[in-house]
Amino acid sequence: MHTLTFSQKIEYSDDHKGIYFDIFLIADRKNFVAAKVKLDTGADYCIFQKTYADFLDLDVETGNRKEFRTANSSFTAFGHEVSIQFLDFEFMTTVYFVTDEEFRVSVLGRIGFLDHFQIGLIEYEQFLFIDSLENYYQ
Amino acid sequence: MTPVDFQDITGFDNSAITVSYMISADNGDVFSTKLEDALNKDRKIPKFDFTDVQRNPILTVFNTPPKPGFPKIYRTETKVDLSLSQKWLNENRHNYVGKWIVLDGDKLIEASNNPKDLVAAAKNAGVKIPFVHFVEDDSRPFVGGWL
Repeated sequence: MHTLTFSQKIEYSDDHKGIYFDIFLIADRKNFVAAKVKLDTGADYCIFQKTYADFLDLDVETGNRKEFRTANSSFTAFGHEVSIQFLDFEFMTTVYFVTDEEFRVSVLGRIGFLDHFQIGLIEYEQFLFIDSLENYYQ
Repeated sequence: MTPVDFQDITGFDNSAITVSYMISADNGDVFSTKLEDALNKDRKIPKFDFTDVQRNPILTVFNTPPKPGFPKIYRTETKVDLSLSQKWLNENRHNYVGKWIVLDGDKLIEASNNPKDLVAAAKNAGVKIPFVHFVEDDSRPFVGGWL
């Protein structure tokens, strides 16, 4: 038997549109933008539309270039270090901004987001349990 | 120098803690010491002066050393709450499908097909933390093959 404990419980919408998290993206400790971003446990990285970089006053193409593949295609994005504030958690991480302005979704993926937390999911009840790794290590 | 008063941290009972602790700042600096070494004679945590300490420094108490590379997360005093913007979105999204919107709480600042318009509009309106969202046509289910 394995047991995890969590400090936070989120009840997400049962509209079958996905699990969205309310976050602040923060760059250079002074530029903020608020967003609803889809949790995508199948995404390797955190991907954001370029508009968010515009609000953060980031020059997207100066970031670390990375090619991504999808189920049916590929795209280019550029990594920048930002802070993410989510619930009452805040952490520095790298997210990737897509240059294609037609890109329609932003997602929180494994590297850069999920690897900062322990998470439990009861999809049938639309409950998500989450806590920082500090709790796991204590 | 930014004074940080760790006595202000709520729920921290220093009399019950005997392990080492680590203080993390947003700039990535980590200050580690034994709690016993940090307590003053009245068993209070003294004020610390750190250069370039950012908002919401936290006190973290570990009973066991974390795995190397363990990412640092800080706890903030308030939770992110976008409920006003979400309420507006629930009531109005059908009018803006295919557009970017920027809100200040539940007040629409701008809606446009061109995201550059939004940045200018938010700056002109003096919005401190703009809520920015592309209103997708979500009538079909989503899977992650995006292009």
